[in-house]
Amino acid sequence: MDKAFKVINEMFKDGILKNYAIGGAVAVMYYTEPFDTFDLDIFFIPDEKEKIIVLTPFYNYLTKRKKYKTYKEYIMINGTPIQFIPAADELEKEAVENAIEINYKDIKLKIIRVEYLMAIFLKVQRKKDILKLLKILDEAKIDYNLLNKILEKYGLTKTFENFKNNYYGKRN
Amino acid sequence: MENEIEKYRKRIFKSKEEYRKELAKLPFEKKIEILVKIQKRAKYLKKFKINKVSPLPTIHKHQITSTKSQKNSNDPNLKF
Repeated sequence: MDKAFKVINEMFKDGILKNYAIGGAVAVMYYTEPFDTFDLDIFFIPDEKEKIIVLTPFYNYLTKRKKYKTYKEYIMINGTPIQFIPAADELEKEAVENAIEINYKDIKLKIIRVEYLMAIFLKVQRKKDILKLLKILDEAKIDYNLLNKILEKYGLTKTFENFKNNYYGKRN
Repeated sequence: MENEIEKYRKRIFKSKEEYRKELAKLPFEKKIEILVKIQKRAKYLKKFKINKVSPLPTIHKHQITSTKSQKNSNDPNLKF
């Protein structure tokens, strides 16, 4: 994972990866207990000028210049599968733009804020997202003012209420 | 007896929750180290294949209560 973080940072420094933030389970883990996950999700804001989302620069940089191999939709960096996920909507774009910067062993990394992660998981609500949401609610420090603003802006307030009633009500 | 077990279980679950919250406070570097260990363990455990799964024995509630006769029973399904 260290090598993967280093490469992401290098891509950012080299201007290959501009607006990015780490999302998914690794981002969740920044706020909660460590848990098993196998891949690293990198969200990025695609260039507005391009009509189609171009992943070629990432692939060229990593496979041709750095000689890393691909496996299905992943690029393997020292055994860590990495996926580049274009921000699909305004919520995800805002999440990337407002990512926090952290230091990991002197490597600067951007991580999606926990409140935005919650909103994204609430919107998608796959089984694994529900589990991550429960973990976050149990363990993370949440800025509820910010969370409520995000939920309101993206019409997710009621979804959050329903989620708590369905999955979290009996626990607390 | 059941009451004591229930109390003990509650204590265990509470301490698990507390420990999880403590783990959440660890530095990110440490969490990634733990993740790598978890991944290694998972990989190791995946090496083992279950050859045969024996059916679970049916145990009725009245059989769970520990009595002298059960403790001395030769029936392996009744031993815990």
